[in-house]
Amino acid sequence: MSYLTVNNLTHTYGEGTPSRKVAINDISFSLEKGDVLGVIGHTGSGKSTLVTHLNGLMKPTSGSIILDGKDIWEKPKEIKNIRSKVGLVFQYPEYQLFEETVYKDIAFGPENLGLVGTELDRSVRSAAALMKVQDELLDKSPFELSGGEKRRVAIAGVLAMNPDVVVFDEPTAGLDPIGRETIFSAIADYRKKNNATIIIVSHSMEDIAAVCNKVLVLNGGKVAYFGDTRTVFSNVSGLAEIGLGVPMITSLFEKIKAKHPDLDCSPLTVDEALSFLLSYLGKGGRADA
Amino acid sequence: MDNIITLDKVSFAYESEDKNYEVLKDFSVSFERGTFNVVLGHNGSGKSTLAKLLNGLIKPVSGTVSVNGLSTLDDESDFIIKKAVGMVFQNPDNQLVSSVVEEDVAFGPENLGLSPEEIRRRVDNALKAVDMYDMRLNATHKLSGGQKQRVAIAGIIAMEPECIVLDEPTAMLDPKGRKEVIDTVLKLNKEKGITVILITHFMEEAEFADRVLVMSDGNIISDGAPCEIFSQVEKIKSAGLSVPQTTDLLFKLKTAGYNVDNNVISADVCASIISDLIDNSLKK
Repeated sequence: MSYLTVNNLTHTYGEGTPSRKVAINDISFSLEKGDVLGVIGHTGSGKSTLVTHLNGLMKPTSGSIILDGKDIWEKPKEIKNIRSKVGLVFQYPEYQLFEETVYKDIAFGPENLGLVGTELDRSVRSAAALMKVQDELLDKSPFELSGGEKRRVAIAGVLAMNPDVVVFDEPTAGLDPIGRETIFSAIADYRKKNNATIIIVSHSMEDIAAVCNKVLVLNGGKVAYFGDTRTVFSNVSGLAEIGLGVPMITSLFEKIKAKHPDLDCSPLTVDEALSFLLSYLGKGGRADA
Repeated sequence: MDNIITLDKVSFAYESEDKNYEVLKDFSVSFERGTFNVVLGHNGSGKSTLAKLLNGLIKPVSGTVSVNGLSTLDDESDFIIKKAVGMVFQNPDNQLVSSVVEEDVAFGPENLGLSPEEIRRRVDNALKAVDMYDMRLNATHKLSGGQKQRVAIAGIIAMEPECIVLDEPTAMLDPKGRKEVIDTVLKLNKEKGITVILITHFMEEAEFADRVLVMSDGNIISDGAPCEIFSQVEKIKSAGLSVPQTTDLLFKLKTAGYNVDNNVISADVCASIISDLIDNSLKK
């Protein structure tokens, strides 16, 4: 049974005013525990409106969000409980650090959920370790850290609440390749350890192809595509029509297939492409052949 | 060679309470007038420090930075240097000062004490150069990231600089905004002959450069034409940078013993190289 289901979700900003705008329109999809969903779409396609609904920061105009079999808005007064189950990491989360020390900043979330003593300490330290925040940083002011370290501390603050679903809005924006790799591998570790459901909003098709098993494409507030990663990225021309690309390696193979239509391969990663070519070419074309 | 900016044995360190962080040491490099230069480097490689040294926003601890032969250490040259070398930074929201696009672009020229007609001319030309003229009366806060960054560039163009330094101008943009900015900068270089020094993480943006420099830990570890640099896949990866998937695939094919050029980024060129490889293998 699916763990998180979004049913016909619609949200209209400024209902009854001249600036009325339907931000998301009749969105439906569902995810299992352990799924990693990539959400792609242009600026203004409704991605942020969608993800802020998932932990009850925004209320649907119509439609529903079912988490673990229950409508999250069934008892509106208990919506706060949803926030401990669905963690939301905003874009540039390092701008939200505020405490005196790194430790206190990470502890803020779990403390508000009522954790105390050794339980609190354990959740802070395990989230810090997971995000590769070294022990000696815990007593420092968050403002003394480097950009990459701040980002990891901010994410640790969300993971310390042990959410079952974690939504990341552009978690690697502005980071260099090593910084990106560190964050993605930490997200993968968290998912594995907790069998968590992960949702990642990103502009990088290459990153989505490498880490996600499902993809949701939004266009003008509607679902353009939803399905497993390979199926979604096989819609090369459909994605191009709405101005989105596919991973560079996938589009490279589309160009090669224009000349060699019999080639049966739509790789999502460089290694997939390489192993296909190596077996297809055999020894032909090699310098030593 | 006609160099617009020359760094001679420059050292620079940031001071903090307990220790000094030396970012650059005995660093020397020159940039030729009219060229398009790309500086690649990971976080902390010293590339932003380099950017700020180029127009005297920070001054070297030892050594000299000279722009058109004038040292940035000389206070009297400061204004001339900052007029000659404009800077564009990473975050578009931190660089706009007015609520209307054309007023923002006019901010610089107004402070030069120019006549209203001259300001009008410069603002219009600058906005046309970045393809934002039709949006000149729009509110700046409603623009997309790529549009904001182009307005920031127009603000620099209106100062009629000889050189523009851009420090990761696309890091916060989506792919569409990224392309808009890079296309704009390329056009300014080709059509107006403005020297460009573009600092970035993205090797893709170096495809059309005249010269590419790779920085790591405060040193230049590679310096040459794009095709020379792109073939050094292992060196670039060891400097903490990523390589476009096309270049990476060709490099891996070459490593596996296939006879391919791996100094390309363009998907079209890469596709034809691999098509040829397939044709050749079918013949055998």
